[in-house]
Amino acid sequence: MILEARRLSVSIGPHAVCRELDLALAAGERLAILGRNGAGKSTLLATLAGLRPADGGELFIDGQSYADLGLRAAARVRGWLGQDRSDPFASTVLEAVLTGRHPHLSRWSWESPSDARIARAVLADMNLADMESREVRTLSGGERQRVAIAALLAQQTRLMLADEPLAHLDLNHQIATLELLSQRARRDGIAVALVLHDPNFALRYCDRALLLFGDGAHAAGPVDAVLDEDTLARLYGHPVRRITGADFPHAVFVPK
Amino acid sequence: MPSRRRALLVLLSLAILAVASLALAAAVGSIAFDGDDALARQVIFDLRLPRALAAFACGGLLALAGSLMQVLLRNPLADPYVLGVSGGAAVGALTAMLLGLAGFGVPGFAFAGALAAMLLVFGLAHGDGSWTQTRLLLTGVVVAAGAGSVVALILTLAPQQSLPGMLFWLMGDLSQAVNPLPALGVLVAAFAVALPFARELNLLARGFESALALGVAVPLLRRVIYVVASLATATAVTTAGSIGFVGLIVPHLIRLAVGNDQRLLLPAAILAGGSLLVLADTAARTIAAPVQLPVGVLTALIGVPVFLFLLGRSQRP
Repeated sequence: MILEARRLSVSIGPHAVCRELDLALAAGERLAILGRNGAGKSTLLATLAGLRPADGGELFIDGQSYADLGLRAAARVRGWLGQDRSDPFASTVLEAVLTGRHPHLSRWSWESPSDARIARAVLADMNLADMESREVRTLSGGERQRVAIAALLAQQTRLMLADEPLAHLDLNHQIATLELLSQRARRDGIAVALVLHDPNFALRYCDRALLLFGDGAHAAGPVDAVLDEDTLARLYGHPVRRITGADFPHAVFVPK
Repeated sequence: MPSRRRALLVLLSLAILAVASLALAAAVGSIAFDGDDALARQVIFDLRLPRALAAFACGGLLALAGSLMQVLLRNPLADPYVLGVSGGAAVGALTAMLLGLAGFGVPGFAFAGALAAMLLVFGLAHGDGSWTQTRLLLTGVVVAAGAGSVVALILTLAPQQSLPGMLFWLMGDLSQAVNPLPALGVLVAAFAVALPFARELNLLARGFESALALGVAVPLLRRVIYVVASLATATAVTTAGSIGFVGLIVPHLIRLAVGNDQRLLLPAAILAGGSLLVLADTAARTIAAPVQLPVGVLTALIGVPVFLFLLGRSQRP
């Protein structure tokens, strides 16, 4: 197991995010985390990334706790994409992507040509090949999001935790990003956990789903088993209809 | 991202600038030599060079502290004085002057005041353990404002004859700097502590959580940076008063010229800040000789147009 949580309890102040969550992600598995705004999806993801402490339970990355791994070693195993895209200082796209190489460099070494090759390859993967010299702050919101995803890919970790990776992306790049992450999961045996807002993407691109109901309750399991009309209606507080047909390889949920 | 070779070239050019500025400072002054070698040697080695070296050390310290504060607060408007260190030093120095202390009294009180402000801001901002950059910035600004009002109070109460000395100190004054060694020592030490963390500072400037996720020990690094920047500021202010502008503008000058990689920015800012202050101080003591102008006024007069020129140039497509 690349990621394993046992009886993990997480809360923000008085608000419970999940209680006694058991979760395991193997190589190549893709997990969708779904829930309403404010349910604690980002908080849980940051906890899984070792960036904030849990209230209770155990968390293992590649069989080790974050404390045993240490910050630097953890950063070579686990990548985390946050939601913050503020950049107070100017920098080029290539510099931003090269930050992902930091955990692989020793204290005095500079980014090598091979680091630059890795960075340029992921820029091409994110459809940003001709933008490496652009100033990050002159990019559009969606372009900046793709730069951040490229930096995550450049980190080359076996576990990728991405908080709303599709934010600001157009339809084309939403699909392209999900296809790319799925392909990486299959090809390189990477475990992926994504905070998503569209259950249809979860159904189509993820193996398993974790639903946070906002009151500390959760549901987890294979997407086909967990995602149904009643559960999603309860999750979002809005009635949902499931549509199937010969035209759809996957069922489709639409809000009523 | 500058390559290593380009970084070395930039640093070499700035080192030449630094040496040239020191040589100029040693050669220029109100006394003209006509063949009197003994007098020339005495003036150069006992007066001008120590003062020029002190100016270099203070400029370097302020530029280093400014660069670090801007990263620590993730705010391009931050400068070495934003968190109240110079305010504390000013209260200390003016109190010493008000009490009529001479010699070591003024720098001693100034350093004590700077340390008190540093600890006060750290204690207050760190109170609940969260230590966000907004909380730190607000605490520092409030402490600086409090110190400012105490300074105004002292100026009001002070006897007439001590006012010029106080005002000179507040505007920055290198004529009291006779021994450059303490400031140079602190400069070397502060640089030696900061440089190994330069790449981690690059990540810190982009965001604390993302830096943490990339393996940077963020809470520890922020404390180290806060202490190093505060001590550098305290040393500079103790040596030469509150010289404005160097700490804000030099890091930006370097950023506009070579980018925001701290591995190059930190040493380049030290060399450029030191050179700028040496040149400004040389101008301050020669332009209206024998009257000496406050060097802080000249750093602003040189810095503002240079900065605006570079800013305008960089915004052109």
